[in-house]
Amino acid sequence: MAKDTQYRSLIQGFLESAQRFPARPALVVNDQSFTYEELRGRAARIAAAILLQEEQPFPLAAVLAQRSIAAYSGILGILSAGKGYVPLNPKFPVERTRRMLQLSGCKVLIVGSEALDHLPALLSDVDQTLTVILPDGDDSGALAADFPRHRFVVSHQMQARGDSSPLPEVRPGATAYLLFTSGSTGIPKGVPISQANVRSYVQYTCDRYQVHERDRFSQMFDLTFDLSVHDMFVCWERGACLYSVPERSVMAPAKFIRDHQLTMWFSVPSVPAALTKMRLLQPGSFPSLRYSLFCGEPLTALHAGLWQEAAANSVLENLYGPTETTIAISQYRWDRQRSPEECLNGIVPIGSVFEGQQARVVDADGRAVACGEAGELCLSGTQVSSGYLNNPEKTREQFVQLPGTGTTTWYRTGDLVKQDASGCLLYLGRIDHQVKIHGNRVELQEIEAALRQVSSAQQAIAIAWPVNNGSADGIVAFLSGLQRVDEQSVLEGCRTLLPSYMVPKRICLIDDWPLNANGKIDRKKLQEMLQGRQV
Amino acid sequence: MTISEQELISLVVGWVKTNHRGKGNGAVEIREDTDLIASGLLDSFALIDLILYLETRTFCEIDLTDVDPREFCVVKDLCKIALKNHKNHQADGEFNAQPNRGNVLAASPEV
Repeated sequence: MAKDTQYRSLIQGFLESAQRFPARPALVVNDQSFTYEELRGRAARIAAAILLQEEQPFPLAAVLAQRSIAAYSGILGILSAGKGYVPLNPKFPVERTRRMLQLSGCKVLIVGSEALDHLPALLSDVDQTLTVILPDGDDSGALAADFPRHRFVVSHQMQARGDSSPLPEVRPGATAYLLFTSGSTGIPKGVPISQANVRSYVQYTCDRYQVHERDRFSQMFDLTFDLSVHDMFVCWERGACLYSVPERSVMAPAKFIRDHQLTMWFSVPSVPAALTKMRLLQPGSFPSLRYSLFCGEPLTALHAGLWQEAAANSVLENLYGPTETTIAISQYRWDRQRSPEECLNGIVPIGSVFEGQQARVVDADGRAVACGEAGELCLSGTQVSSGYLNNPEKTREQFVQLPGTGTTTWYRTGDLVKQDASGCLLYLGRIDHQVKIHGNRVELQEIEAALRQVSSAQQAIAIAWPVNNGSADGIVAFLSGLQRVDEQSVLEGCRTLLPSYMVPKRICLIDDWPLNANGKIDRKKLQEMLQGRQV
Repeated sequence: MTISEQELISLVVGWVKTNHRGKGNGAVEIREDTDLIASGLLDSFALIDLILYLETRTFCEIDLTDVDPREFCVVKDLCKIALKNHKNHQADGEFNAQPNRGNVLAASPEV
């Protein structure tokens, strides 16, 4: 047997926990609790249904569901079948979901009942013929009649695989999950993360946080956000229980944390910011937490300090990592005394990369800059993806070799950082037009492409606004070449193409663009105009 | 100055129609018994913006410390909570200046 066939795949952690702790709770979602044995059983039935479709081998299967039992068991079922999973978000416009489904090439789609409303529009437009698995469904008669070119499998048609069935062979280079990030050309970019990439992360993180079966994890992130992978697989690796936070509790999770005595918290920094606005981040609020992790956007010293007081028994860490480097790749541990002085511009450092990963801060030519100088952060190591799905040009741009580092492949993050004398990385901003909105990565050009598509504007510029401490609350759009604009019509058009966080909150018409010294549209000036309310 | 529950509901409906996150081209359907989160009209961050907007319009803070989130996602329930706080403040003689909410988003058309 080849060595790599003995590799421990992502699903094995869950399956081993299911063997060790069959009766322990694995998941609480929508007020329902599922043991490891129950969840494994559901996943096994979905895996069997997937494998029955395999006339020819295929690497990926998609799941259109949102933090439901169908979503979690669907992901586990796909991995149990030896495939990688592609999460699709029912909150996204159908057109965007269709595009992701087509780019992924998936021919099997698992759909939760919460996403059924989206199915007809998706099925009528998608190019490929699909097998649609409905784990919550009893009858697919109407769908089968309306969409005869697709196949449907409902719950009573799903048979359990025998417990003795061997797991399909999974190689370390096989895709564990495929996520899409905002693309500057207007088309989302697929980022395949391999089994080896994510296994490296899960192992390191479980050890670092000494995760055990009595832990209770929060699950705040949409499944299309890679931080959800941490929630699920770090939790299940050690037999802990995952608590899916209902959307309505996301902004007021204090009661949820208390009710469920959570021990592991993971969210974007926008959550403590929101709690602070609502005066809900009070000292001593979350005594059960033993770890508080934040990732996805800059964490302010103010919110780190307030959260630390609220979760006084917890260790607070700021994590950092682009999707391409698997969930998170660097960490900074908050210290009540020392950290406020180590922050730069009120932003908590992103710290140092995980053991086994490498960071380099480089200039425009890819050469390492001196300590303390600003440069682009480049990353390499076992967590770094090998490139974008079917996009060699973009892969060549972002996955590069650096002078003096041999054949090592480095991912250019586009993040501007500097490193202090101790090696601690400090985040300064972006070198391009990417912004973060509540932790979601957004290419402004993608919004501009949508604006041009839905209006007859000659030119469209999207500005992140307002920006507080390096993180944006929303988007304001500027359009030119129009006498007048029906703002609501343009915004409605955008809603059919973009996820809600990318839809502008406001449209401004402009006749003359402010230009910078190079003759390009001066985005900073547009921000100043918003600041001064000149538009 | 007092504000009625109906006026508050109208404010909420108006705000949601301008700032909703729903998909599609149809007109926004919103009634007093609409659950703003379950309907997909608002996400949790937009709901905060709405609550902060109500605070600026009622001139008092809305205390959600002990409120179950299920209770402030429905239009009329949210308005009742806001109104309760509003009346309490008036009774306490705490009718102060507008709360400091510098970055309320798109609270009014001219923002």
